[in-house]
Amino acid sequence: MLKLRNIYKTFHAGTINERRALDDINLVLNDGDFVTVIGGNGAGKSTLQNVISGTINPDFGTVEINGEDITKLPEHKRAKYIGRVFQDPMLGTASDMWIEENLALAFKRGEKRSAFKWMINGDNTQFFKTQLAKLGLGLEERLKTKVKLLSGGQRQALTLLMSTLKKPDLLMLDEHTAALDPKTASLVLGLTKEIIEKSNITTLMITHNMRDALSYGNRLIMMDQGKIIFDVSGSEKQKLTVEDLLRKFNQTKDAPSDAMLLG
Amino acid sequence: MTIGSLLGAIGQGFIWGVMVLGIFITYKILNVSDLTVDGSFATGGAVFAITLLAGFNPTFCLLLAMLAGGVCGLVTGILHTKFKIPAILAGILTQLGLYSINLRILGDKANVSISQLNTNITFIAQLLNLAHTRAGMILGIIVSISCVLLLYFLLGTEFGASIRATGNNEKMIRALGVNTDNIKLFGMILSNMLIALSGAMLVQMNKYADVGMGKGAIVYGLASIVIGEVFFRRFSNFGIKLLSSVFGCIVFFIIRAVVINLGLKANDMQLISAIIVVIALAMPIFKENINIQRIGKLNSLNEMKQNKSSDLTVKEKLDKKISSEMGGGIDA
Repeated sequence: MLKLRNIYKTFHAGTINERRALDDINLVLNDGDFVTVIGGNGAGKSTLQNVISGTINPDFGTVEINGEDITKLPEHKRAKYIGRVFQDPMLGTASDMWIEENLALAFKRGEKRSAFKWMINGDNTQFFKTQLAKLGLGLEERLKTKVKLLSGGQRQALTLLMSTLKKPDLLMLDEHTAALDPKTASLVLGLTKEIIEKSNITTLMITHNMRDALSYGNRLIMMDQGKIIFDVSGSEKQKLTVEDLLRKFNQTKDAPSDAMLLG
Repeated sequence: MTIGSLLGAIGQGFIWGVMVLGIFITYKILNVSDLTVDGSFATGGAVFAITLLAGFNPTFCLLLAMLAGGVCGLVTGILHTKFKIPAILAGILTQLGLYSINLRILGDKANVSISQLNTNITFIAQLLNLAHTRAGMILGIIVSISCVLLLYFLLGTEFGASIRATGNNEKMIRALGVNTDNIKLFGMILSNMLIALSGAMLVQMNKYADVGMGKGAIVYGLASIVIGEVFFRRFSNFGIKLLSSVFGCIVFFIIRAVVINLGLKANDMQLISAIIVVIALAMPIFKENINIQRIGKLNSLNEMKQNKSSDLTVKEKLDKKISSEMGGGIDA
């Protein structure tokens, strides 16, 4: 369970470029929640993920996972709880290492790594193969292939597998299909859904695609100017349409200017 | 060139090869440029000479030299990882400071002789009844090969794989729970330990320590790595890559011996090694330019072909038109 309380983050405080990226964010993700996050550029979606993953520290507020306060933990210590897939397919894998080496690295996420135990020792090879086979990309036959030889879509699918190989308490997907062509993107999204539902992983997925935000997950959050302005789940979410979302979007965009006109 | 000077060059190659392994760890595996080398190489030599003169066992002195090298690496590593000073600058700062420290270690003398004392090399020379330089080569072979093996096994472990991954994709391995700062710190310590060990062995070989003995060492090391890569380009196994850098170092010292044999001075080697590194680093750009020019030529050839073929198609169209009109006429 993820719990965010009163999170504030301001960039370039005290300068002309001051920008409040997160403005009193309160959010509770229940176990098994699959939440899609939408919002315009600069709405604070990525900052939210960075605060959760520990890439940046909030100015105020607490981040809790499973009841444990992790606000002060550095990024690498949060890896124990969090699996991540980035937007750039190049960022999720070590390109000069084998597929098997990448998987073995990921299998030890958040654990101590022994300086006396050979990493590729054959113990997990069969497990890796069955997991890779589930991707349906034929990667299980290419364990000793360097990851740099894979396509962006293959790499992203591999990253997705790596981030969930050891079940995380929270999976964070940062527009992880945005850099892929439509066909590959839908393939990776399908895999995402399959893996998340099968293992019942609590997930926070940022997306720019409103249709994806509606068709995936059981809960949807819309952000604007550092605030959560819309939070809908269950049957209410299922009834939502792209038009509803667009209307909501336009309200947020126009609201300040309307106020100015009227004022 | 005589067999003797060739063997001498090979011996030097093995001894300096240990330093190249150290540079390989930071430059190739961790992907950070650590310029501490020039300082820590001399520190290793200075500590070895002084502790040996103080009457310690030579093998113990080698260990002390490695320890001193490790401290040098620790300093650069802290400057880089904790104070966030760019690695190149951090290394230069440590190296600069080390010059003063190395002079202090040597008792304010530019060089210190150990020619009367027993070392690992004199021990091997007595044991196998060999000349000094041959015995030095044996020591170099033993130490450099054991370093290659140790590094190979270390880098294959779970911990070692996270070192390789840190050099490959820092963001990714941090997201998998590895403290990349500590990994870099460890890498710099290990690297400079090997570099200092190499410096200490060179002191045994030369029978004196010199405050300027590490000058240009980083360029020698990079040149060796580059030369090794030329010979072992096809291999991707990192064990082979480690071996290839030692091999590159041997080739480097053979080239050096040849150059000296041709009448150039030993000091010219600094320029030659700088040029070797520049050529190697600029090679991808040269290749790219050649490629672009070739593409240009191919394109213009293709254009000429297309022009010709389009002429043909005009003719063909005409032919077809005529024949169809004629055919139509016949049908009608």
